[in-house]
Amino acid sequence: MKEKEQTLLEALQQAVIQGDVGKTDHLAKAAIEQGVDPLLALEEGLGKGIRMVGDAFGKEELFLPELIIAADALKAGTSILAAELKKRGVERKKIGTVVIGTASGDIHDIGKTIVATMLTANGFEVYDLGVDVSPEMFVAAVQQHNANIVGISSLLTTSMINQPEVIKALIEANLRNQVKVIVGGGPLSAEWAEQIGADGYGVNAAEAVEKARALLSFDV
Amino acid sequence: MALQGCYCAKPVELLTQETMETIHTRSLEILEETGVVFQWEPALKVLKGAGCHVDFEKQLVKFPRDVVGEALKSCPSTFRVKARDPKYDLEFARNRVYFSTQAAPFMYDLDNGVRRSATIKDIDEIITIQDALEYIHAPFVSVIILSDKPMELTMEWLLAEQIRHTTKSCIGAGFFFAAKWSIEMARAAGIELLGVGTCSPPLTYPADQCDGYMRYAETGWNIMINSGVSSGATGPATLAGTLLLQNAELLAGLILVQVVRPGIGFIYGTESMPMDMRHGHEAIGIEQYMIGAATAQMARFYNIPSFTYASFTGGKLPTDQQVGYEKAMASLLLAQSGVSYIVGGGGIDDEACYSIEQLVIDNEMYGMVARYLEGIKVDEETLAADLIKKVGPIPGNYLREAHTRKLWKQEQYLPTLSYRKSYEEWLKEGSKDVAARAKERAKEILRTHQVPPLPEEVDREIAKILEAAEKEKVKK
Repeated sequence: MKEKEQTLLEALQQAVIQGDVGKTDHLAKAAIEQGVDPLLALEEGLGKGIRMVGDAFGKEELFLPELIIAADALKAGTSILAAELKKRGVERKKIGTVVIGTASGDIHDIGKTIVATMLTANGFEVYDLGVDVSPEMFVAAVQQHNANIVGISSLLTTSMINQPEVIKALIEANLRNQVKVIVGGGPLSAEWAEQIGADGYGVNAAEAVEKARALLSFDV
Repeated sequence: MALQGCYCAKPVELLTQETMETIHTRSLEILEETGVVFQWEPALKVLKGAGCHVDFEKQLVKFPRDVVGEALKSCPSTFRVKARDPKYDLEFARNRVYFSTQAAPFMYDLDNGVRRSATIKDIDEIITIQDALEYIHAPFVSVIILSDKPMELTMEWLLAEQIRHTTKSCIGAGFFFAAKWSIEMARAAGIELLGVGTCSPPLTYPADQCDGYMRYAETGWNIMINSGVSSGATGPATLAGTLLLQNAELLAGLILVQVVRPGIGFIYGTESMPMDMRHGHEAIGIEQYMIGAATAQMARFYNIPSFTYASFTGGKLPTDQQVGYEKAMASLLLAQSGVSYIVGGGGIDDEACYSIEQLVIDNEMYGMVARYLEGIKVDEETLAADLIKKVGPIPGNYLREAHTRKLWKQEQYLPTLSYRKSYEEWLKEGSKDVAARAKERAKEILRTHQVPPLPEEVDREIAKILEAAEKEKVKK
């Protein structure tokens, strides 16, 4: 059994590394059928796989196109295992829940998608709201997913000025104390984040993850 | 298989066919009516034997047109130079481009950034780094004044260290009558040399250069000669006049070499540039690069390879923007012009200084130029029409596509020194400029790069040849 379990965990890691959504989905189901602890499959299978991808990305051995599909595979496997945990009434430790989107007036998708991917790869539960996201949509998503991080992206200065509107809407909905707000994007800076009352600014995807981690541990 | 270097599919053309034909016919006039001085009796003798009109007292040679035509006919368009490692053999061919390095009397100290003379240890380090760098296809001689060796033996020592510390192709110079000993060392190592030398404009070939050309030619090794006209001082102030004068000079050198050994390779080169009349200094800059480009075109007119001493800069430090823009313009233009052998890597400060940082930076710049020469590949897969239809408008994107994973790397040259991250990250990583990053890279190469050592008996043989050369050449 132990040996079989180990083989399955390694297969899950490989499926994530290869970014194979179908295979990850299949293996996650197989793990449950074969009686592998879903928490173990999450941590030592999917989780270890994505950490290996993250390391290789940091060393410039793997690149964004591989990272993105690895995160897709991770998502597929995670949804199956998380549902099983919920069914069993097991509480899963989460680093944090993020809702992320590009501010209204801006349809630039890629930078925000990369940040979402990196957050996912680092164990955050991420709800990507897409582009041209209104303050109301941010608020609704925070309520729906009980998020503790809001990520707002802007590539254009014309949408950057809409970022404080999201913060204002969070305050009006009495949610500001529940969430940390992180902003990012080409024309932004740490000064801007401070000026609009955000909690953090990430210069790139890796730093966004660092900031998210730091902001939440400060909470604990 | 020889080293492929780069391939310039469509060379830039600065001259019309008519202009090149005019330069050729007016050169024939100059060679026939005015002639060229060879300050070396053996050269005068072989040229006389080939049918030239020689005035031995004036050392002046006048060339009948049929002698010129005969020599041009015997020049091959493709030939090979054998390196220690056959994968670094050079094979000169039409439109093939190799990047090389620069020669300079001083070096820029890697640790304290002071200009100084070099020692054998510096030379060994420079050659080791040249050996490691991907886009340095064919290292040239490097620092030409050694503070710990007799001046008359500099060329022999530089070659000995090249043979010892690189498996890439090696250079045989003629200065200080070094050819005799250079040939012996190369033979001991089982390699061939690319003979190199200059003429001294206007219309004069010095003795030691002639000796070098004749010895390398007798050995059957290929030779590159450059003319270094200083426009306005040792040649006409005009670019056209400069091209004409250097063409007459180079044809004279080509004839000498072909008379000694018909059929060996001749590489048609230039070091010409204007004089800056404001202070009498060499005017390194755009005109020099244009002369280099036109020189490559003239060489193609004769269907022979070309070389330029022209990827130069007047900027004094590897941190100076002048170095960057001048070398970038020169390298791109010269490669676009299909120059066969581009001298310049590592050079700064006119032709005066060699910098290891700059060599590492130039390697990266040559990598970018090499990417440019590869051009834009167009086929059904690279056009990606079906993919564009499939992905559609936003929120579609291409990061998830197998097409991206498969092709992005082959489309891009990935620089290792150029900084492409944000200002904040740059601050966090120590606010280093490219020269600082190049210095780190150079130190890392010196720590890690291993050049296969010569067989012990070859190394001993080279040491013996150096001793014999010293005995004969250096007055105690």
